[in-house]
Amino acid sequence: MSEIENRFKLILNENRKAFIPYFTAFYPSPELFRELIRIADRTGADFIEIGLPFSDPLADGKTIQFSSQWVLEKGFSLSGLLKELYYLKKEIKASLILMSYLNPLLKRGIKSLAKELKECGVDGIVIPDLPFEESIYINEIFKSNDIDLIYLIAPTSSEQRISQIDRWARGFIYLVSIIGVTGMRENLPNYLNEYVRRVKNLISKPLCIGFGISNPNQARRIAQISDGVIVGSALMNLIKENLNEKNLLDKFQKFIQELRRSV
Amino acid sequence: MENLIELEKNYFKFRRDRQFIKEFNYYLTNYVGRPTPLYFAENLSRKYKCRIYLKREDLCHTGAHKINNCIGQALLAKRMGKKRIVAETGAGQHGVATATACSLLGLECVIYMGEKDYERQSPNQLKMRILGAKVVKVSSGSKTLKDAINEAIRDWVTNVQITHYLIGSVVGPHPYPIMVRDFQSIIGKEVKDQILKIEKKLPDILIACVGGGSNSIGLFYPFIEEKEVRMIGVEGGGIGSNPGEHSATLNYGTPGVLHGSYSYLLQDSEGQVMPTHSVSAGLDYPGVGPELSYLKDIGRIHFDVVKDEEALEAFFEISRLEGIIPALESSHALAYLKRISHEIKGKLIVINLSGRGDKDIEIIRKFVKEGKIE
Repeated sequence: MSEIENRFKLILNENRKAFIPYFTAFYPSPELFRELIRIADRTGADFIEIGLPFSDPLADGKTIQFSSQWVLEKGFSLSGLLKELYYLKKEIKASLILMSYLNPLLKRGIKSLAKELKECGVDGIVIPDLPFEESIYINEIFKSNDIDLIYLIAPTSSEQRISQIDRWARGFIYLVSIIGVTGMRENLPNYLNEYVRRVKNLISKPLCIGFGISNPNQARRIAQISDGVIVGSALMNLIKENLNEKNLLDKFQKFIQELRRSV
Repeated sequence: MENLIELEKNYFKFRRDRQFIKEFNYYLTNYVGRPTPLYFAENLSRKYKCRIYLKREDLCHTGAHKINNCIGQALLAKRMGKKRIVAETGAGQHGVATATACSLLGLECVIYMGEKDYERQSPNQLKMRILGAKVVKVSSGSKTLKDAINEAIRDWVTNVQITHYLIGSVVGPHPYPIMVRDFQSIIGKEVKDQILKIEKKLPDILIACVGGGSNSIGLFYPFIEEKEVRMIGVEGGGIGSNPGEHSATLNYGTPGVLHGSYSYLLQDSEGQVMPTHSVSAGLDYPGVGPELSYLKDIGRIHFDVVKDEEALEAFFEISRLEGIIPALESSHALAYLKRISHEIKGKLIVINLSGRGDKDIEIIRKFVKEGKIE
């Protein structure tokens, strides 16, 4: 069993739901990023998803586009992030999951990167622009380094595809709540409950839901129908709105605590 | 992914469907104005001491080859029951062609255009609006073609049930590169028929400009198996070979993944996509078609670069020698004649004049004002 699967077993045994906050790497600065991760960990995040900024983040809405571009403009290197994660991992309890578009990973070389990631304590990876059909080779490489490749399922995914993905998935399955890109939504879609039920009948892995979850109420509703809740844009947006505020970290802590409690 | 599977299934079905092919050809003939002439450029030929033919795609309805693909995809979208089309545009030629096909076939049309291109190609954005399309300015990233594609894809995945993404070049995820190639290969098929009729032999050299690669592969594809035909793809050399100064993906790029295909890509050591530059908005793209990437690797097509100033020089040369104002994109292909002038004596050459230059008048005016050209 992988690290993520072990942790899920414990979480489910305790009759809890996993809370998975997302952070764009080094946003808004390396120092604040480190602080934000520490706060998230203290608040009881089970997993922390860290997004590698990319010049063309196709699956992301305005908020994460903004944070990614912000970090890239200040100068970003994957080596710098790996070093940071190596030290961060020693002081936090949460399991680390990397989110990256495919090209930066290819450029680094998947084989060597998988080793480096494991040394830094990364347990899982999400690659939003890697379709299942092209994923098997990459899946094997990560698997042999004990890193779970986490697959996404969308409302448009067919039953046949969902079953296929479940056979190859490790860790958990990332269910995209809406048709479209990341970003806050006023309302969750009406079809959500039925869609989640349909998917649950087809899969054996834990199911976490992300995309569009904006506030504690929505997070609570999602927690009721899933094994875990992923919140990204809402957190990145709060940081963006309070960039120049002295109490950024306090506000962040308050918001993430509310989210954690509601999950 | 499901939408791509659906598109692939439908495209493979309809490309063999007699009724579909008949309808496509009907519009190409009666609406687009095909076949376009293969014009013997007598003055140019005299100057370079060879026989030069220009494939007059600039005479297509809407002024460029882009319409061939738009008619094909819009007809397909209708058969798939889609009511809404989204598309990206750089120079605006694809946007205008898409808006045109949508008017013709009664489809709702939304065009994404980088803010930088929106300003520098303002006649085209106005044309799209006249045709009833909604034009959305894209201010993310580098504010050019690649960002317009990002935004069009985001729209598509959000409204996928009713929407078809009408991509304008041989880029993007499968099946787009082969579908766009197929719709554009009418160019090469016509050239083959025409040149055999006029000259009774195949050309020695084919030349086309390469941005994403739709006009070039459209011309080249029917000649791939004709080993004696030399093919040259000309990329936007911009103002130099340093990162950010050009858009010459096949010449200066390395393999990578952008917009769902694995091809040459202008990227930095971290795998981030690099900004590009070309005087011609239609070449200003950091990726290139995967099939062209393959044809480069196996050595079938030679790719070279032409700089902004060379393209501008050719723009005037063709205007004044032949009375044809070419698009700045096509001017890159035309400029290559001078580069190889020492080795083409007596040769039979076909150049794809992929579009006309009206849309570039503002850019030319700027250069005239700055005293860069007479």
